[in-house]
Amino acid sequence: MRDRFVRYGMGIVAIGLLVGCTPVASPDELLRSPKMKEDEQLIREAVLANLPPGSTMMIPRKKQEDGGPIIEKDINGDNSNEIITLYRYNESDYVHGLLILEKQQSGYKKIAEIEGAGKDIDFLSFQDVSGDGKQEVFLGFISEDELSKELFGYRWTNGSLQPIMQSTYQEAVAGDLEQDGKSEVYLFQHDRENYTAKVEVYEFEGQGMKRTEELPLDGAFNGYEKAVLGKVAPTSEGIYVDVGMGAHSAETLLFTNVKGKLTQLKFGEEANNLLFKPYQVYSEDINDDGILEVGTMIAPVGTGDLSMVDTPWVTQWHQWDGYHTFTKTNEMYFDYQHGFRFDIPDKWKDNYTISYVTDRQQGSMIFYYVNDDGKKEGELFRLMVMKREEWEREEAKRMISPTASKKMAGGGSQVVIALLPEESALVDKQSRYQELMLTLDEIAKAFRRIS
Amino acid sequence: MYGIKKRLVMNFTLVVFLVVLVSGSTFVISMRGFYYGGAEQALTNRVQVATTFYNKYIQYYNLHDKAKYIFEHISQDDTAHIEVIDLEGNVIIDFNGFTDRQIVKTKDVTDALEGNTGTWIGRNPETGERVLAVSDSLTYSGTNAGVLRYITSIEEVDTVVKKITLFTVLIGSSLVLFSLVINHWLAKRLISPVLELTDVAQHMAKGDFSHRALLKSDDEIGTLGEAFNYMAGELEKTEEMKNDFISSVSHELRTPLTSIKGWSELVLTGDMEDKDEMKMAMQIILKESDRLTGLVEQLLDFSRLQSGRMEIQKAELDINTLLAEIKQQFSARAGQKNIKLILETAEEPLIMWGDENKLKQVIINLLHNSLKFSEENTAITLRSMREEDELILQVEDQGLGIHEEDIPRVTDRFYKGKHKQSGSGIGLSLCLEIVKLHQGRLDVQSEVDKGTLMIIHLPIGEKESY
Repeated sequence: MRDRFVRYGMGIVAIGLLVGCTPVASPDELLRSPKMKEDEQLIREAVLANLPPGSTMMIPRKKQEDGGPIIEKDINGDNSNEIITLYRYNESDYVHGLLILEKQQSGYKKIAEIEGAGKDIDFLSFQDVSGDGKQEVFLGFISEDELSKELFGYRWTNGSLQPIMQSTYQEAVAGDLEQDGKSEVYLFQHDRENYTAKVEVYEFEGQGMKRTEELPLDGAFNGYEKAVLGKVAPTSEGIYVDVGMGAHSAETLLFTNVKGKLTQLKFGEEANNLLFKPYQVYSEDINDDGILEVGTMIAPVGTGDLSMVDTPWVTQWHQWDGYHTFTKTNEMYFDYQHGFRFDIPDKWKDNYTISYVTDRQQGSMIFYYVNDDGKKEGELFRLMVMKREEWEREEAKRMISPTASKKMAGGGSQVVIALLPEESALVDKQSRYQELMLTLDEIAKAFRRIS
Repeated sequence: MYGIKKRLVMNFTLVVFLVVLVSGSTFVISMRGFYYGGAEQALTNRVQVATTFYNKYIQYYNLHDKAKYIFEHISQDDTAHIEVIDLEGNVIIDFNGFTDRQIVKTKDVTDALEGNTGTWIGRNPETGERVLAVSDSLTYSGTNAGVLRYITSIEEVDTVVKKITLFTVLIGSSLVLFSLVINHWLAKRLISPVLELTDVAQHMAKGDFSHRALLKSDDEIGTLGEAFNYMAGELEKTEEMKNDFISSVSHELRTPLTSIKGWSELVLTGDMEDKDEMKMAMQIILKESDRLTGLVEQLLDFSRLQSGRMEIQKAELDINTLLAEIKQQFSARAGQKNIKLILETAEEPLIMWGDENKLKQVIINLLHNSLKFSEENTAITLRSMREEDELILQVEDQGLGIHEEDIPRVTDRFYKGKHKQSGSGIGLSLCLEIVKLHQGRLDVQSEVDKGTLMIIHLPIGEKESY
C-alpha cells in the first residue's frame, strides 16, 4: 500500500519535472506577431519575397482610394486580380518602385517591376484609358518639393507592362469626364515665372497617350493645391481645382466637358464670390452625397471690421446645380489650430456670430445670438480650450457645473469644453433666442475632431 | 478502532493541503501577473515611446500623413503588428499592408480615444487567436487625432502559463500525496505503542500479567508505557503475594486445626478415665485454639486497617513497664529455645500517650519474629530510651537477618521473604500501620547471619494532641 503511494508520487513528480523543465522564457520573448488570414499571409509573404533587397513597402503621399500598400487590381485583363505594391529604399536613394505579382498555380509570381527616381510617390492611380477593361497604371513621382512632378503611364501589352506616357505636371487627375467609358488624364501645368498656366488632356490613341487638347488658363496664381475629379452637380462630371493666390487667398476653378471639349466655367458675380476665398478651402464631398462641394469662407455677422487674422471665419460649402447657381449645403466653424470643427445648425442661419475671447484659460470662442438687425442679443454657448489638468482640477472642484458643461475633445494635453450660459441669462429673452439654444448633446453631435 | 490515526492523518494532510493550496495559488497568481503584466508592459513601453515621439515631431501632420510617416519609418519586427486608427475606429493603415477598413472598437481603442493608454486581451475575430492589444493616442495640437495600436499574439504566453500552472498543480498534488504517505507512517508510529498498551491492558484484564509494552521512544507515550510496565510488575508481585498469603494463611490455619482434630479424636476414642492424658489433650486443644484466635484477630486487625476502621485508644502508659511485662511473658518460650532475653530500659520511666494493647501487639510481633528466626543459644535484647521528644524501642536479635534487597519490602503486606518459616506475611505491615497511627516510624537494620535490629520511634505525645 505504502509502496504503491510512493511509486505513484514519484511518477507524478517525474512527469511534472519533464513538463516544467523546458527552458522558461521571459514574457517579452514570448510575444509573436498575430496570425493573419491565410490568403493575406500568402500575399504578404509573396510581396516580401519579391521586394528588391533593401526596400520596404510604402504608400503614396496622396490619400488613395485603395488605401494600404498592398492593392489588388486586374492589370492584365485576365479577370483575376494582380497584387500591386509600391516600395521605397532609403530616403537618400531617391528610388521608388512598383511591383506587380500575378497569382499562378504555384503561387504568386512577379510579372512587372518599375522603378523611378524621386523623393516620394505623389499618387498611384488605376484607370482604363483604352476601354478594354484592363486597368492602366499611372504613377506620379515627386522629384523635389516645389519642382514639377513627373507622371508615368503603363499598359499591359503582349505579356508585359509597357510605358504609354511620360510627362511633367504640377497637378494631375484622371477619370472619365467625357463619359465615353475611357478615362482621360488631365495635367495642370503652371509657369510661376511667367504666370502662364494650362490644362492638358491626354487620351489613349494607338499605342500611347496622346495630348488631344490644351486649355490655357489665367496663370496669375501661386500654384495648384488640389484637383479633384468627380460629380460636381447632380447631372455633371467635372474637376474642381483649388489654387492659392496672394498671401493667403485662394480660388477654385471648375472644369466640365462641354460638347467634347474641356471648358472652364465662368459665373456671375455672386457665384464668383463663392469661388474666391480669403483662405484656402479644399473642395470635397463634405456631406457625403456623392457630389463634390466647393468651400468658401465668410465673416460672421458684425465681424467685418476685424483684421483677417482676428476674424472668426466660418466655412460654407456650396453645391453647383449644373447651371448658374450654387446652393449652400453646410456651414462649419473650423479650428485647425486645435483640431476640431463645429457644424453650424441650420436654424441658426444668419442669426449668430462668433467672437474670440482670450482669458486666463487658453482661449474661448463664444457663439452669440444676433437679431435680424445684426445686434448681439445673448450667448448661445462657448467652446473653451484648456489644459487637461486645469479642466480636471476645475471639474473636481465643481467650479464648472456638470449640467452646463461637457468635454468635447481631449486625449492629449488639452481639452475642448462646451459651456452653456447661466440660465438666469435666458430670462426675459425673446423666444427666437430661446429657439436657437442648443443642448449639450446637440453641441456634442455637431462637434467633430479633425484629423 | 483507528479513529485517532485517521484523524491525525486527515488533520496533518489537511494542513499540508491548505499550505500547498495557498502557496500554490499565490505562486500561480503572481506568475500569471508576471507573464501577462510583463507582456503588457513590454508592449505598452513600445507604444508609449512611439506615440511620445510622433506626438512631438509629427503632431501637425494630418492622420494620413502620420500613418504614411509611421508606416515608412517605424521599425517593424515579428513580435507585434501595428495599426493606425482614426477617431471613428476605422483602421487607416494595417501594417501588414492590407486595406480591410474594418472598424475597431475594443476597449484599448476606446481608452486611447479618451486619451489613456488602453489595453485589451481577447480573440482576434478573424483568426480566433488570443491577442493582446495596447493603444495610445496620436494627437494633433494636444487633442486626440487618432490611435496607434500594437497587437501581439499571446498564445505562447498562454502556453507557458498553462504549463507552469499544470506543473504547479502537479507538484502541489504530489506534495499532498507524499504528505499523506508520510502522515500515514507517522501516525502509525505514534499510535502503535498505544495499541500495544491497549493489548497489554486487555491481557491484564484477563489476569495475565506477564505481557509488557515494548518501549521504543522516550517521549510521553514511552513514559506511559514505562509506568504501565511498572504497574504490571507491581500487580504481578501483589498477585504473587496474595497467592502466597492465601497458601500460608491456609497452612497456618490448618496446622492448629489438624492438632485440635487429632487430639479431639484421641479424646473421643481414648480412655476417658486417664485424666492426665485427657488434661494434656485439652490443654493442647486450648493452646491451638488460642493460636487460631490470635491468627484470626490478626487478620481482623489487618482487615480493619485495610478498610481504615482501626482505632487506637490512647492513654498514659510507661514503656518500661510494658517491656518488662512482655519479657516476663516470653521468658518461658525463649527459655525453651535456649534464647536469652535481655531487657535494657532507661532508668527513668518512659511515659507516653499511646494505645497500650496495640503497642504491646507491635512489640510482641517483633519479638515473635526474632524468636522465630533466632538459633539456639543466642540473645534477644529489648531496649528503650528517650531521645528528646521521642521514645525509642528496639528489638535486637542475633538471628538469620534479612537480605539487603528485601529490607524495604519487609513491611509490605503479605511479604514473606524467601524463608520457609510459617506466617501470614501481614505481621510487620500491621506493626508499621500501628506505629504510623501513633505518628511514629519503624526502621529496619539487618545483616544476613548477624542479626536484625528493629527500631520504633514514637513521639511522646500529649494529652491535648490526642
